[in-house]
Amino acid sequence: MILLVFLITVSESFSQQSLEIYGGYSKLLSSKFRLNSFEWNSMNFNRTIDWEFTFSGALFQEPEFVSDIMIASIGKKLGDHYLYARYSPGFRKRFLLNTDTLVTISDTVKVLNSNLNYSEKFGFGYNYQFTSNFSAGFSLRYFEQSYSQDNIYFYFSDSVNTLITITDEWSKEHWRGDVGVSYQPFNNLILSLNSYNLFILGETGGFTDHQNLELNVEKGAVLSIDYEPINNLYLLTNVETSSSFILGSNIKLNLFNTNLALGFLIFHDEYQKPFIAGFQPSLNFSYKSLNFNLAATIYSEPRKGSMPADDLLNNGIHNIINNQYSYNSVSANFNLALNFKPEKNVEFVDVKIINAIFPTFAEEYLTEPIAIGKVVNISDKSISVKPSSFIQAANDEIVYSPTITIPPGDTTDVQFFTIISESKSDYNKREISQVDFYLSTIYEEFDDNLQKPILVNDKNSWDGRVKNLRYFVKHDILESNHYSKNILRENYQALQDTPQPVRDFNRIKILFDNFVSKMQYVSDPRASVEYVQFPTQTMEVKGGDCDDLSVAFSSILESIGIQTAFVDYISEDGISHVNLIINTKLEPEESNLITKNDKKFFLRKNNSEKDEIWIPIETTSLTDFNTAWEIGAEKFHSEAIENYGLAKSKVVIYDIY
Amino acid sequence: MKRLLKYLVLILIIFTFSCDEPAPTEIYIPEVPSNAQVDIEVLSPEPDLYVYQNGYDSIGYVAPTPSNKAIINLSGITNTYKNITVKRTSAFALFVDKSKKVLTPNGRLIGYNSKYIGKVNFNDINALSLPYRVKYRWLGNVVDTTLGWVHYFAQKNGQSLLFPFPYNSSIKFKLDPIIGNDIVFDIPTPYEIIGYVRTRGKPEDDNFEISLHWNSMNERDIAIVVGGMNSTDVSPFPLYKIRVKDTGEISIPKSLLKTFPYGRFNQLVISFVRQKFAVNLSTTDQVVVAQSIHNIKIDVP
Amino acid sequence: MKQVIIIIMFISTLVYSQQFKVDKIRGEVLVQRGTHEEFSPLKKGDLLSDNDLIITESNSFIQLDKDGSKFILDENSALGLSYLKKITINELLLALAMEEIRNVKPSNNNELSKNTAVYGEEANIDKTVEIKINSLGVKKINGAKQLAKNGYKESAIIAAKETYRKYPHVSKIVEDRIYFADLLLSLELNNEALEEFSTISMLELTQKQKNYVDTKVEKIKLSLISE
Repeated sequence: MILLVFLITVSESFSQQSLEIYGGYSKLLSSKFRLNSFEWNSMNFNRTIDWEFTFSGALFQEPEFVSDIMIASIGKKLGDHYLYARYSPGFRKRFLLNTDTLVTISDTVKVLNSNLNYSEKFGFGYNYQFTSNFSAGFSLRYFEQSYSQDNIYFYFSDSVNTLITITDEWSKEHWRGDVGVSYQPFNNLILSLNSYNLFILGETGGFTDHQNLELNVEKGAVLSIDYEPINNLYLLTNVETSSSFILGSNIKLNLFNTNLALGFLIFHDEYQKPFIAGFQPSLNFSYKSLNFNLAATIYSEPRKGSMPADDLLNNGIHNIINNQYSYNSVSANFNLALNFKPEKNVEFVDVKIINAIFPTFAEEYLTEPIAIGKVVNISDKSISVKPSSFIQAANDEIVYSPTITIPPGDTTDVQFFTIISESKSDYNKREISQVDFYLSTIYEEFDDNLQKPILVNDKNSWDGRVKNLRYFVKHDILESNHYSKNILRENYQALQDTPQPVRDFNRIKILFDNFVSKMQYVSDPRASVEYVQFPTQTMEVKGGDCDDLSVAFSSILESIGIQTAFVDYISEDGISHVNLIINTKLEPEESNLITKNDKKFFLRKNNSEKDEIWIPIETTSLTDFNTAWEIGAEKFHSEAIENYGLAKSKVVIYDIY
Repeated sequence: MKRLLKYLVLILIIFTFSCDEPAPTEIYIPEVPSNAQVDIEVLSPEPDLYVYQNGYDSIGYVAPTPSNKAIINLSGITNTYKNITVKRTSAFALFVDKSKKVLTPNGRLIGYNSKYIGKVNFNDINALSLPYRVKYRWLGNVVDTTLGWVHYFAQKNGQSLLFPFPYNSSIKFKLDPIIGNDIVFDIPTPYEIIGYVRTRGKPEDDNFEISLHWNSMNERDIAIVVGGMNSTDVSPFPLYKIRVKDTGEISIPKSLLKTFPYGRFNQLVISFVRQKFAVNLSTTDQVVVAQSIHNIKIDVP
Repeated sequence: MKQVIIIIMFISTLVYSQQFKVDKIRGEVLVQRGTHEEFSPLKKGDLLSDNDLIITESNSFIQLDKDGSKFILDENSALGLSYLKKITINELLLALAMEEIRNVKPSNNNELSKNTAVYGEEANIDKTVEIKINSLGVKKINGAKQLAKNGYKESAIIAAKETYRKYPHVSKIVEDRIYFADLLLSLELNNEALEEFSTISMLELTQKQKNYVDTKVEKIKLSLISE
């Protein structure tokens, strides 16, 4: 059975006065189609829902299309009481009167204009349902108007004569209060009566000399009749005391299991020409708690570009959004009821694991993602997504990656970073672990999650990229420091006797000779590209391949502040080679302190743009320092320099810092 | 609930920032033709330095100081006060050496040295070559100084006309320079301008209005110079120039009339000026212009 | 094992070596082979590889023969024989690019401290260290000029660049710097020449040199604009 409601409303109406931006669909329809406003509120709230929200945006043809927010409103039903508040930023009309006067003041040109602004800022409504078919209510709305006029004045004195332009301004604010009642004698008929401009309250300011430009607030009333003569056909009529009127009808359709209604109305406005000032076709669509309405307002008389001001100057305007200067418009209006359930905003398309985890590279994963997810925003708005992940074998807790914003409907790559926990494991064996990826947006729960296997290597594992050897260098830095200090202490006197500039060079030499004396074997070059020994392990087992030895000796030097870098000799057959270059801190002029052969060193500019002497060392040459240096230099000079290896990226230097 | 509100606020914010404010509706007053552009410019910006007076040219070419190398100016002038009308013809030629500045004792520019470069005549009537005097203010006094030479002829009031100004015709100009051959050319003249001033109200009642009317030719812009004068003064003090399309009518903006220095002047002089530039002879350095000027003096009501 | 590796390395370098033969010789001419420290005198008929550096003293010269083509190195010059080959402009650009590539990249994080342990006492600096200004740099520049004059312009530029970097005091000899900057210009390496002339303009110049360099800089800038 159809609820008989009642309502009231405070209808207000836009004037003509009752023209609505929603296309004026019948109040009898509003149990199926809900839009929240002063004029039509009651029916919306016969449902169980207690909160309602409405947003309206409009597109004006003036003559370029411009969009504006018309209304944002909130309504709340409390028993038989209904409270309503709305913010109406789009209820405004601005005029620019161009006087075609240009003033030239010391070469600057100013145009004299007049600006006239009307706006309805916000409003409040209240409605009480006395019986199931009778309700009454009132509304209060706040208006602001301003007028400014550029005037030119002549300023005359003994010392200076000048023209100045001054903008004279006037403003006016007022509240407007109206009352209304609504009565539904039969299921298919609603009668309502609403005042307009009944009370004008709290007036401040005024336009003084230009009172004719103030918003016209003539009092009046609107009688509305909503009638459903046959099922799904609705007729509506509004008649105003000013003798303006509206005639319209709606047809409800059930298509595709949704509620759809088409509407059409014509209106006559006492203050506009011609007799039928315009018409409004509209479309209403309702699905679950969401209502969508599209309404066009089309004026019979074309209104484009500049219009004559005399009507405004003589009669003013009676309504801000519907007057003799209004443009054609299309409004799109949404109503949302409370039973809206938050849904998933984003979801994974897939996640691709980029790299296995190498626990020793912990630092690497702070800047290099371990995985990249393809994420789609399935909502209709831009969403900020907070990606996070949890590797069971390597994380103590969920690790959050940087937030990214995804436009509606877009698919974006999302990077996942991680922090390898030191306490989680000693990483002695390689294992397949699981990583959980999560996406969260505005809610506490995750919008989506996905699990993927990931290889967590043991701590000696290496991905074969020479740049990553530096993590092995850093691993045992304290032990290396201890080792270096001991050796240098034993050679204290010898070092004291060497001149200062070559002291680093001599330290390198002493440390290398000592290091070599402790090593017993060299394995084949790059015996394994998957396994690298930590410096302490190399010392323990007394040997290793070129990676292991380079890492160990680099660690020994770096631990006492001597800069080193790996040189990666990439060869096409896959067996590449690694050795070290070492910074002696000597300047080019001092090269003859260490060698007479300038092929044995090369220069690198340091961070302060000064050339320093670096020497290549072949760490697998377990003979003595001079031999290791000569072999290293020979190889470096020939491959990196002579054959342009550096420029062709066949030889790559990786600094350790 | 909270989540829903958050959601809605978010939508609102997105909407708010994605929308443009509709532009104001442009409206115009139909009585004013839409191409009636008005351009207003102060003519006497520094009264503490220069002595401004409407000379023969009426629009400030001579006073205070020209910045062109050569100026040839022909004016047909009509002066009206109440029922009295006097007509005059004026012509002058001025040749300026821009490299020679004339400064006040404290270094402000008065003008440039003007030269004698030969004999000048207009329509075969010799122009007088006279010292070019200008006035400026120094320490509160008006000081006379000579900038050089000017060639002109003019009639004093009451004397017979050497020739009546030939409107919508031309005047022959001839320069017989000290060095070189004669330079001769014709300067075209404009239609005569005939103005009419209508006033309503009084300044003391704050409803003073002035509307100006003239014979429109719908050609080039018309300049209207508004000046102040006392009954005892000989020449008006120029205040500002209004440049308008030649539509035949304009009202002086009310705000300008409100701030007219009535305490200082008890008469207003409205000068209607229609100019015709000899386009092919004028450059940025050299101005050759013929003009019709109608000066109408009215008493401030 | 380690001997094996060393031998492999030497072989690999020798395989690519060019062979030069001493064709004529006068006065004192020395050779420094490979990465060895010693200098030894040369005599007619000796064989040289491109890893070797030859040095002529005053009143001496050497003429080399490589597959029938001759090259004379005049007195007071030094030349790495690896430069004695035709290289392409591309290779020259690669070599110039390496100047940048081999610099230490600026680092942001210094978690590995650079001064963990400074051993020894700063007060005991041995002030008797003599930093001998080596005449080798000047000789190398002379050698590079002769390379250029014999048509090995690209090699000459690389040799000069390398020398200027390793022997900074030589880089203050303005006339030579201008010579090599002009050489860059003759190869239409305008940007490189501009950079070089700009650097030269920072040195102490005579008025004549200054005028010359300034004119060049302006000309190159103009030609760069029209490119």
